[in-house]
Amino acid sequence: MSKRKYDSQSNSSMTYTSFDEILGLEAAGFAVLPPLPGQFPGTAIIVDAEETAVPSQTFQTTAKLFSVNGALAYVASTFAWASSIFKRRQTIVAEPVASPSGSRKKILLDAGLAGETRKTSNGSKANQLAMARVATSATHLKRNPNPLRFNTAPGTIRPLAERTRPSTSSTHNASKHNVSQRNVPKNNPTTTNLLKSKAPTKTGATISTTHLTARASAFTKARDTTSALRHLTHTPKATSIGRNSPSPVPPFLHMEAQLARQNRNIDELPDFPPVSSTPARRRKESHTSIDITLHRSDIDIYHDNIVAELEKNLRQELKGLPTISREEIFTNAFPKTLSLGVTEEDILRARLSDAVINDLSEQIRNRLEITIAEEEAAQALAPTMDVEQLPEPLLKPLLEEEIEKINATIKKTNSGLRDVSLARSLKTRDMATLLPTLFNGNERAWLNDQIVNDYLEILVNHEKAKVGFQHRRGGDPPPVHAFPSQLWTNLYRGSSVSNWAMRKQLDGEKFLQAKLILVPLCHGNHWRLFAIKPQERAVEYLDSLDHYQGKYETLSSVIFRWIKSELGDSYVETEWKFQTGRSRVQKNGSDCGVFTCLNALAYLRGDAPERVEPVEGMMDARKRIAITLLNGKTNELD
Amino acid sequence: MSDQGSPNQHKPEDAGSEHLNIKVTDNNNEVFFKIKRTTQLKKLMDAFCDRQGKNPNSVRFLFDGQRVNPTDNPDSLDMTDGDTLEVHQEQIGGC
Repeated sequence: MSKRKYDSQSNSSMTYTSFDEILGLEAAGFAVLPPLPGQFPGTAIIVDAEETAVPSQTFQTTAKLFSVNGALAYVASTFAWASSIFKRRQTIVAEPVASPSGSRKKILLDAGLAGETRKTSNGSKANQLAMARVATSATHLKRNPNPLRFNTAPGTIRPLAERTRPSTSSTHNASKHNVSQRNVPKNNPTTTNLLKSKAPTKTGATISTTHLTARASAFTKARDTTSALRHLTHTPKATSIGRNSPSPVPPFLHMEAQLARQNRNIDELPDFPPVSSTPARRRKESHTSIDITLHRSDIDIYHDNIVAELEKNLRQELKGLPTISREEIFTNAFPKTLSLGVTEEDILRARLSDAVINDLSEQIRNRLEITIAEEEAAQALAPTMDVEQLPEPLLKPLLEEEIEKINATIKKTNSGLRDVSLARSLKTRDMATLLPTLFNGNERAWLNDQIVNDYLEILVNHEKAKVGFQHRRGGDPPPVHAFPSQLWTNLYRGSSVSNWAMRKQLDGEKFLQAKLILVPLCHGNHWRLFAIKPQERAVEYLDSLDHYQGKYETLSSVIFRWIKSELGDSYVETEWKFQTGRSRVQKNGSDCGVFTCLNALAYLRGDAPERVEPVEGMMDARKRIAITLLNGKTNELD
Repeated sequence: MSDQGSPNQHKPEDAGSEHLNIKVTDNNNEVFFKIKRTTQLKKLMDAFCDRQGKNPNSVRFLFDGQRVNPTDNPDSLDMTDGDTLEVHQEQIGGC
């Protein structure tokens, strides 16, 4: 049993092995936390009397380190303890962690690093396990002493820069980092160089301090190396264990403030010795010390990942891009690999509560808003000549209110069971052909003529309205027009269409003045599109089925016969060109109607039909078409 | 839509010209209706479907390439006496 003397001058935490000493301390004005019932008193934790007055579960101690006697553990409540104890007055936050069994003592280290002291409940399985683990770690350490991690030379103090690793993890301190740095991918969330960042950040200090250099002078006084090693090696291991039980007050809550404080302290205080108003707090010169750079615990990685995921998600949200749910964030953030002895349950139990996540989200959001604004400003300033202008996507992603509208329609139709009129001529059963899964339709998801004709009509009406065109008998021809698919039916079976073009001022010479005439057709249960460009004397056949693209002779002969009949003498056969094969190919046996609609959209936008992106089911496109139909107008052509 | 240029035999003031004959055909059957110019075509469409035993949801009515809504009337579609309303079956396609 090591016995140390209490040095009233240094006021440093010591190990007390007898109650007498503890009582003596209490008498001297220091609060000594009482042992929990049924626990062996081995260690007392000394906290400044004034500090304990904080009526919270969180104790702020000024670098009062206690040391743990290896053999005897004393369980009081749980605490965090500081890293640099004598060297710097770093304020730490200690948090009591509810212990599931009540038989463990858990100490949360600064910034979420947790240490645990084992108690000596004889025969306790946990204890044996811990001891075994410690032994393993100790052996390992002896075999592979890592000078970067442990500086066991007494009295040596590594320079600040050495003790911190370059940061790749979180971003903070917006004033210090430029945009490009901020864009560094954060796939390697190691540690943050918190000690280096000087400006106190509003939101910034990231939650991930992990490489914490603890200067535990008390350890050097441990009686043997094993004892010291046990502490050294035990601490990182215990980190993960210490968080096993769900913390009532997750350490994240305090981290920002704490880290800011840490930074400030480092800035304000001279390196050595610490400024202290009371001589009692003066550092005891004779103390030798050991540097301990603690491992990152799996839980810290988990928490860091959560923050990174949150930030990614919020960035998406602020930019109006699709986001992921909170559950997915937790799933994504789960560490890829776990340390020895850490189970998935351990990590899952460390999951942050909603309140903490909300808190974090707000902080990150505040920071991101500034960041994104800066980025946008930088982008605006940057010369745009070099940047290749990406074309707008053919289909805009659905807005919140548009999704709402579809949901409301689903509700209105009782998921497609109630046949009601949804728009001008659109009924539930029509919608069921477009979105069968949402409106109780046939799962083969074949579009009917109502959808295709309505959609094309809305598109061309939009284009006509853009140039202020109105149909007037004997008036000008429209710039664009889409005939209903029944035109083809009549053409194919030889029924009269004599008035069809005339009714739309597209008869005779006028036909040639139009820019684009769309003729959708449903032939053999398959939707296709003829895009006629009279000004260019071109006809394009768009078929989303590969094997049909070459079989156009019959169809094209019918369409050319119609053009010829409309044009009469104005038809010069040699002028006209025919093209096929430009449509993308559908991925299933259902989507040809959607491709017909999208090809029409592409032509009306002046885009290439090759830009239609084939995916299985074309669900996004179907929903976009549904919105256009429900609204009776489109925003795809603006 | 309609303007004065239409060569309409019926003078709007003439009370007798309020009615016009409309042929409704699905390429197999022809049914003639005599309706007022302001009567909604829904009446005519329903009557045709009733008589032919068709589901109103599965047929489309077109007049000179213009899709007819139930709320349209001969006036709004600029119809004249003897015009034909086409009846088309619903088209559906996927592959």
